[in-house]
Amino acid sequence: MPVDPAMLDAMLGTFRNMAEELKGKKASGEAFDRMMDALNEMERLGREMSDFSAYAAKLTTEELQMKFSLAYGEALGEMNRQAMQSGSYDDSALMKQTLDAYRGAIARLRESAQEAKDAAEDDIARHEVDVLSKNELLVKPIEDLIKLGESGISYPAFLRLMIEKGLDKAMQGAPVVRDALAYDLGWAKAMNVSPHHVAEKQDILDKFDELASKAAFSVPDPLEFELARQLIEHRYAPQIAAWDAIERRWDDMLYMLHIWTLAHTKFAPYIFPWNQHKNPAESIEMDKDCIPGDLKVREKIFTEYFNLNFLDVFTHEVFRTEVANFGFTYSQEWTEFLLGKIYPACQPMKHLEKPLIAEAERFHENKLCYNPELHRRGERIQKHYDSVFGEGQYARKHPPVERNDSRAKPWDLGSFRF
Amino acid sequence: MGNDNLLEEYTAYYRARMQRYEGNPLYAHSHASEKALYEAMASCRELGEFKDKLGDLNIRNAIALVKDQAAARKKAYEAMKEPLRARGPAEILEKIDAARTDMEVVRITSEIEQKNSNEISIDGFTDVFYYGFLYLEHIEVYETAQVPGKWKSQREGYRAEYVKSLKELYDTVERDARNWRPDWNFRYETVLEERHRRRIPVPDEALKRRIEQTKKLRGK
Repeated sequence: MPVDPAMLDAMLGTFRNMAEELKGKKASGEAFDRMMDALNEMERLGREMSDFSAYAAKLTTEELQMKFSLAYGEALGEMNRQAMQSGSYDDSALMKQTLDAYRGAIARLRESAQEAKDAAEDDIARHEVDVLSKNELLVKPIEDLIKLGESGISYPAFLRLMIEKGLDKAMQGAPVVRDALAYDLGWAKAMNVSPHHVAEKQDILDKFDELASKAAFSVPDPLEFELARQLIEHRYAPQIAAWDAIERRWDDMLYMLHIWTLAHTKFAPYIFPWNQHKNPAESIEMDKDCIPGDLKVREKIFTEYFNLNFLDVFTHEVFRTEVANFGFTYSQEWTEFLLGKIYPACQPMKHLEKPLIAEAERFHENKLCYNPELHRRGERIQKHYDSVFGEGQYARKHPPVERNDSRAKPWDLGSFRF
Repeated sequence: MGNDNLLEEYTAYYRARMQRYEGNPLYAHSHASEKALYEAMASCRELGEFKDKLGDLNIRNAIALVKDQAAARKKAYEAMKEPLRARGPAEILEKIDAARTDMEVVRITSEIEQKNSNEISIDGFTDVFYYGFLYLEHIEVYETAQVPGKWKSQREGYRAEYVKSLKELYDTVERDARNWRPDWNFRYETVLEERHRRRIPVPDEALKRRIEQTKKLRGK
């Protein structure tokens, strides 16, 4: 069975267009033949293979895309050389060729933007494409260059002025690059996954601005910026990995404590997760019996990895950031109950005693378990989305951000007992 | 436009090309090469002479830019202790002087960059080890947690499922990796190399323990 046609089109579309372009120009010769051989081989493999991942790997390991691109460049170069040898080129011909290439670039930029809009699934997605597409920032410098070229100056003067006025650098799209970096930083702040995620994006933007301040025409050298960016991402990778590793594991441990508590309550069979199970009674019994022993092993692993015990986490930056971020699931009072009373009782081969079960049931009946401000994270994300895409746009795309029905008090880290 | 004027204008153009790299240590080769081009043009008494004086300076110019870019990348990756990534630009620096045409410049750099990109992708399959940590931790819980005996048989079943999933994970990754390199096998030693080790946020002893656990569960 062949590779899915839609995926094949996405993979080979550009190459097919490039081949058609050269056929339209009546290209021929050894390089053109090699280019078509490469494309035909990619098409053949697409018909004969069924696994897209294996197909993509095959294209890369056989270097088919590279062979195509090299042969394409050679075929074009050969056509240009033939034209020059025929005596049909002079400075005005070179100027025309250059300006035609720039006009073609503008056309392609506008076509790509339109294709992106056409591919968008609905008006909301089309609006997002409109907002994010900075096409006219890319097009304007090219139009300025074309105007210069059409002004009647000589070809070498055009080339010189392009350098001296920074018009070649303007075409690199530095404002678009900076906008994209600022966009990434804005989302990092809105999501606030960790201070390292935000700091990484901030450092990258700051580095761009630093390089721009020292550069001619305020356009950072692309290579210098590319390497500086990689160095920043490289520097933050271990910190982000450590943060993610700590967060995932303590989150799991706290959830285990929460679930073990609820498993003892009279309404356990009717609430998540047990109401989803085929045999809620058996699942509840297993959780009551096994979670304490499981939790001890999880704690041992956590301490081995991070030199932290379970309670240490509640003074750690990972926890404090999660609370400040309105991402922490449980209320302060329920958390203090879990840590102060449930955790010491959560020992292997033991169950909760009746007074604690009753206390847990009161928490649940009075809707005091969950963080009443969880919606504020969603509101922050909504506010940021609207600041980028326009007031009211978030509501067009997502269900409303709703408060939960928790009656617990909001978090006050200053008064937190742990 | 008279030829004298055109000669002046082309000389000014090549001067501008040279000056954009002046004093920039990132583009030392490019500056030297543009200077050679400028001097060739500036030494012409009429424009027609340039064709003879040009020789292969244009190709040398393309090579110079490639060398500047490769040198910068090599230095950066060596500073990051990414020897695999540094290999590509290092090989470009070794081989690029052999290029005699613009297409050869493109071919040499493209072939080396593609080869290096493949090596980096293949190296990425080693990430399966840290990805497997969650399986290893589940298995450890089922093996060592103190729980009532009546659950042991059921939990042994869960443990067995996780062991099977762990083996399937490695089998899948090896199968995918062999689409790229037919003789690829997961190697524990690769995990310990700096570029992988730095992204596994556990102490050495814990890492060693997980390696031994993985070997025992996989049987290799």
